[in-house]
Amino acid sequence: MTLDPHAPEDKLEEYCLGRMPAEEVEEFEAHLLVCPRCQDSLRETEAYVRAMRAAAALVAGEDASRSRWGRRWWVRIGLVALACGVAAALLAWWLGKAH
Amino acid sequence: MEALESTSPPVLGKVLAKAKIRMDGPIGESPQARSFSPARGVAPDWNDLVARIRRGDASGMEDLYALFSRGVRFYLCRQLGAQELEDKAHDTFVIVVQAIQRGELRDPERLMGFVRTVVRRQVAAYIDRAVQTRREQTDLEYGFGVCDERGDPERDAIAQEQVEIMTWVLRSVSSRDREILTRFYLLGQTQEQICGEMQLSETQFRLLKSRAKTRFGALGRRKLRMRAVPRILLRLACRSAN
Repeated sequence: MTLDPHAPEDKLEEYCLGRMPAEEVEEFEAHLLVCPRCQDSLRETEAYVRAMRAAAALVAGEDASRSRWGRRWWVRIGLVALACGVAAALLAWWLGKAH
Repeated sequence: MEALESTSPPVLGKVLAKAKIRMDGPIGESPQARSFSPARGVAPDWNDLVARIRRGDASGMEDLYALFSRGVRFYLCRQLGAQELEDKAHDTFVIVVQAIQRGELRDPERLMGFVRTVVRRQVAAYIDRAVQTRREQTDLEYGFGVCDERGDPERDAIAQEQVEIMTWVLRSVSSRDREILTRFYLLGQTQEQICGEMQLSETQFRLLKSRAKTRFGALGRRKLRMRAVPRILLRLACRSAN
């Protein structure tokens, strides 16, 4: 008689992320109770997923602020260019009137 | 074989404590436990095991403990933390043994599922009790049991280091790859959804995930090696000083 096979990495990730279907959870947890190898793998996967989530949140925040800053930078450049354009037009109009 | 005269909790407690002494350390030190190591994929004879527990045979309880002690502790620790872990695990075993002896487990082949159900109920009961206690303490508005909710500093440091490594990994990949990983791990999107929206095949998706994991592992190992160098130097220095 053999026990159920060990859970593959994808299944461990599903379990850690709370995406494993309920009927599979029951079977997996029962296996987990008697399988030191799957306990160790789950511990590693859990650490990996936790680190990935924290790092992804951090990097996503950095990306968002960088893109916000980038947008503002282009807005500033645009406003300066517009102001320069208006000033040049006014100067041209004034010079034309003076002559 | 040692037979139990009674199934009362103190007697069970003694047998389980004895089993704990024999089984602690590497899991499955007893000859019986060695013969059905789950790591080798060999299942025990559930009928024989359950029959021995029903008879009150101490060896049955020892084998039950050898098989499930690590898993029960692992599950309880994951759900409730390390506080009073031994007591909680012990209570769980007493409940399992008594339930088996009362004939609540009809099909011995379902022992793993049965133990899992008991452990889950125990977890739910502990959470209920904790919520109730907290509510009562809040009602009183004084006399709170102040407990330190910070984690183990060493574990926190390791977790922090893992986040740093992962941040480095994420910064080193392309923005598209980063978006895929963020969608999957952080935003909770499914593989099908991500593959559909980002025109990816299942293989590409798996490959990306496994590459990130490999890079994370390689960086972690490199960090460990770097930390080992000063330790080796220190050891050499101590040896030369002696």
